[in-house]
Amino acid sequence: MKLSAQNIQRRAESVAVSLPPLLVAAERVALSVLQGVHGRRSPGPGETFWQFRRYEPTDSVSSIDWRQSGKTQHVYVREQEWEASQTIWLWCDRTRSMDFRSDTKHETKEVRALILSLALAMLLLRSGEQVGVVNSIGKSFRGLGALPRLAEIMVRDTDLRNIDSLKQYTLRRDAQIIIISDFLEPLTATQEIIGWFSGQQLKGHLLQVLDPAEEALPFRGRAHFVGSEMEGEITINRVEAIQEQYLERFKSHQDDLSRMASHAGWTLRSHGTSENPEIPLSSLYLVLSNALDRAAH
Amino acid sequence: MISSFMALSFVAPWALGTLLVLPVIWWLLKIKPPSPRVIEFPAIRFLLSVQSVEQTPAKTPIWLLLFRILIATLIILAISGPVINPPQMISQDGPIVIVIDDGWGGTANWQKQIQAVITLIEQAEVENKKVIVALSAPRAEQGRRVTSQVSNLLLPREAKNFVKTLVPQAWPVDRASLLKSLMDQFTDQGIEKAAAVYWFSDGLHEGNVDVTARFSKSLMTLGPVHVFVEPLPMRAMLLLAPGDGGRDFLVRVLKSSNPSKSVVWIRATGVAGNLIDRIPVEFERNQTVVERPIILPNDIRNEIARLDIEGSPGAGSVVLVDSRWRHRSVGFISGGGFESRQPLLSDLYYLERALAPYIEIRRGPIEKLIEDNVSVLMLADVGNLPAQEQEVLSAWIEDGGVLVRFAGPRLAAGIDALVPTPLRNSGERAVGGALSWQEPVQLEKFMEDSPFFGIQIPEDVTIRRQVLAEPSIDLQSKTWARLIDGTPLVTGIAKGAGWLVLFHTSANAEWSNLSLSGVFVEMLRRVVELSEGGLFGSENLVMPPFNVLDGYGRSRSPGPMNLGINAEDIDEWVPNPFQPPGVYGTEVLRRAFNLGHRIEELRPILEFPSGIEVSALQQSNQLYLRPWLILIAVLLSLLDLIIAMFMRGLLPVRNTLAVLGFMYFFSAIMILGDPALAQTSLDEANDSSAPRSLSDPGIVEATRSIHLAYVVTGSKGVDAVSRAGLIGLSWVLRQRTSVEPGLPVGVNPEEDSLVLYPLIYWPITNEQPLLSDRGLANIEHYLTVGGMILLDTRDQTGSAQPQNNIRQSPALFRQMLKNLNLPALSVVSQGHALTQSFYLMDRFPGRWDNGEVWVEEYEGGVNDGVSSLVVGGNDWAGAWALSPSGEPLFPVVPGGEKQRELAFRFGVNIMMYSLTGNYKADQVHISTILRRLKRTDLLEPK
Repeated sequence: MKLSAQNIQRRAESVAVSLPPLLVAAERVALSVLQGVHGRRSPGPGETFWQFRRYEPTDSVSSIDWRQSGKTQHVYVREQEWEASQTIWLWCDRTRSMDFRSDTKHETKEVRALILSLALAMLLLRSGEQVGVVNSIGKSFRGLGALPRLAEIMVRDTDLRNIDSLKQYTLRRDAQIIIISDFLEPLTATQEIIGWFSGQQLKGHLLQVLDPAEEALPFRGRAHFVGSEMEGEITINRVEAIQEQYLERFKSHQDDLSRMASHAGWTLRSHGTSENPEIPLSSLYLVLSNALDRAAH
Repeated sequence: MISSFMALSFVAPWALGTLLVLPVIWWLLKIKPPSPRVIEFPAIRFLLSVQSVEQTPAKTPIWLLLFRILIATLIILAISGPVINPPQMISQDGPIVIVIDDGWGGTANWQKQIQAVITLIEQAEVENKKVIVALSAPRAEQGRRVTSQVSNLLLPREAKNFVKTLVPQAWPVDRASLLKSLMDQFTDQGIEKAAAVYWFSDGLHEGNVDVTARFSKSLMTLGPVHVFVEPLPMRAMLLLAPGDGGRDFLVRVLKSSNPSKSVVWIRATGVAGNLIDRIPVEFERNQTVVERPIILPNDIRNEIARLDIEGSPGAGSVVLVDSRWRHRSVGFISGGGFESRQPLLSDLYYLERALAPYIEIRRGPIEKLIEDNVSVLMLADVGNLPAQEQEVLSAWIEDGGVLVRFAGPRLAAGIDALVPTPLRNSGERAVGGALSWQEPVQLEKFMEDSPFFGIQIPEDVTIRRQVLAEPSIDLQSKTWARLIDGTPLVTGIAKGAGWLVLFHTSANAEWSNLSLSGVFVEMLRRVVELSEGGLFGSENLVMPPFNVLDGYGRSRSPGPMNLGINAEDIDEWVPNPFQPPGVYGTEVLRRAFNLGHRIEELRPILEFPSGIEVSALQQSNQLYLRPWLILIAVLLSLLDLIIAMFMRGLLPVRNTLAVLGFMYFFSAIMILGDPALAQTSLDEANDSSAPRSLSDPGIVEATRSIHLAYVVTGSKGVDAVSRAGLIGLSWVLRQRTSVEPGLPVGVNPEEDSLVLYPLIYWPITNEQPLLSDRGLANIEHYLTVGGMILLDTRDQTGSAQPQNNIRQSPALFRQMLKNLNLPALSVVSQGHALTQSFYLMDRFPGRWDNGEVWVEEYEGGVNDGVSSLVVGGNDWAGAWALSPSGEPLFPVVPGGEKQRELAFRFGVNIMMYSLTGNYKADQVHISTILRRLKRTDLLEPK
């Protein structure tokens, strides 16, 4: 598949379109959150009525609600609820190892990761959140109209290539970060990134995209394996003989990863390219919405 | 066992030395294991950590090593060229004399013979002996001399080159003169030592048995004689010139011997080499001569110019056919009225009885007969011909026709000018008449210059009545038959290329009993033979060679040595170096000169004198093992390749069982070659015809979500547009409605199950093949169970009633409308469900805008009144088609995005119509419709 911004966007739209926001909304208490504006349960700038209170000398005259004041003997000021939207930062691994598929039936991990991140961005934009891509520009966007721009950045931006590059960015505290990668690097690298953002008081979500072959090692016979990022190479006489050990190692890696994530209060989702992309998407969106909700309360 | 080893020798023994290299190959194979498959793998870190577990270095398994060494050994052995049973030694000291029968009889096995000769010479080369090659067929020399060819003492190399240039000759051998030349040669060269004589014989006697015996004995005086001759059934066959079996060609084939039942095919070809007929000639056991007629319509039969024994080249297998074998037809015209009333007294009855066994007879008006290309016309008792017919007849005679007229009462009464000689006006004379005969008169012997010369006249033939010729000076020369008193009975003249003949008596028995005798038949046949190349009057003509046959029986132009032949000798002579078989003569008059004319029997040599070693030509029990060894090596190499691929995991199979199955299948195909076996496997593979179960992944996939479908027309452009259009429509449906279709599916109405798709878009092209009955049944079933087809003629002309406008539509459309059980179609009316199933619409543009849309007229019947067929010509797919980036692919005509939007709305409507049926027809929009109706009422008050 051609890896153009437009193409990825179309694919992402088709994934996101079939995931009705209503389904997620059923889980939610307040419809307003879906509207993207999270009431802060305190007076402040916003559009929803919060309370009337007696006029105080520091208040601006323009804030007096004359109708309400006319009903009684006191002068009342109308206060609105303080409303704010969340910022979600997305980051998508574009290293060499992501450009892998074991079978032409599946798409590469990279394409799947891009589709997922863009679909996520679309859902979030649709529900009114601010969405940004972690890069040197450090800008987040609002409104569905920003989607092509986000797609462009994700596909083109070379800053996004390496997970280690994340360590240079500082983000706003109340934001959330979603990292989409295969997380096959040594755990220390992942640990560092989690630590880096946790240190900034950010909550994060890891979405791991894996090829089915990486999960199962289905090869047989004699094979010479070469790493995608110069990790080394190895020749194995009977791959099926070491399959069990491989799976063991792989599982322990996964366990460590999820432990690491939960320690930091982050979430980890594993997703195979042979599976339906809507599954991790809906689950992640659900968690995000709940989290936003909770943050709001 | 040992002896067979003793008989093993090598063509290139030095190559066996390379067997020493085998240990090196062994070593190389051992240190270089088969290279593994390379896989790029992101999760390699886990593998790297596993690495320590299995550290054993890869090496080639010992069985594979042995297997590959075996292949190498086979190749080396193949190069060294082992031979089982190498040829024997020549024991004699003197030169080798090779006698080759290269006459027509040698052609049958010529290649084999030459191959054997060359093998022999090669052996002579090994043993360093000189060679004399003697050819038994005579050759033409300057000065009309015929000599036998005997070479000088040749070095084997020269002899080999000489032998390679030899070709068989088309005439018989002359062994006697060969022997003489050979003896002369021996004397000339002063050869003293005993020679070894090898006679490659054609196995046929030349003359009688004694001649051959004498020849063999004489050969034995030179040295020990070894005869190479093919077994009897393999020797040359001879095709004789066809006999005249009345109406049909009689083909005769001679064989030397025929131990079992066999069939020989004869090919009859025309002048241009076109095949006319091919007939089998069946030989029963021990039958050596078979005659078989070729039965063909006359016209076709007359085209035959050459007969061949199929698969047996050579001059003896060819018979050329000339006009003598041409079957002529005779046209009969009678002036008498007997034909209908008293057929047995009719002139024509006698003529017919005389000629019918030999010749085809036709009747009819003169023009018709001439048009039918008859060779001879017989006018019995026709007096005055109309002038016009006379002209036609004269012209026809000039062109080569033979007109034969018979006298009779009517002719006696008056005759036109179309006679060989003027007749006396008073006409006839009869026994007891004015020019009185005392008694009936007999015929005189035919003169030498008469075409009838040689026919014996029985005494009892008498003439009672005849018409008289006017005496004239040249009457004598025109007279072909006369009575004993000298009056002409038959006169004839050549006119142009044809002949004009008059019998002065009647064709029936009224005037004479000539017509009752055999003479009459003979005379008539001679007359008929005059037509088309009759030889009469040209016996001494020397016919130049026109086309001659070479030893292989191929026609070629005559060479400088070929001489002409006297016409009268053609049936007498045997072909010789100067006059090989072939066609002689000029453009006008041609004669075929065949081997099979004079040679009437085939005399195979059954035994040679004692003391002569006889062996079959196919003596080669030498077995060259090289090709077999190479074949085995190649097969083993292929197997090795498969093994290597299997070891690297490159074979597209899941497990060993599958490999075994694959090999079993492979061996079944290769070894058994059993078509039934292959058939079963194919059937299993081809499950599209098998009934689909509900767990069929195709069905699951097709029903997971709604899919739009289009019919694959086979034309790439149209299919691509259909697909793009339906993708565009699916996109629109997803965005605007609760219908969320998956990717469109291309279907083939002949094979695919259509019932899974609610709506099928069918673009009609002119190139589409017609549907089979199965396809039609499939569609009909689909429509009756509630499917819907949108037929798009894409031609912008949907304004005419499709069923009436049938003639202009593509054939497929026609076929569908005719064969599907459809109600009448009508234009979509106002208020039809299609106009309001989602959007309110009043027209349905696609890429084009002016076409009407047709649906089934009768609503409320089957399928709840939902039309199962929607027909239009607006090329909707063209309007719906979007590029991957979302832009429309085609402009709409007349244009505007509004039209495209309407096209999409139509798509949405028809999808809704197909999914929800007609429920929108009544309720939902009733208020809008009412309002609209009111408005139109206001505008156009009734």
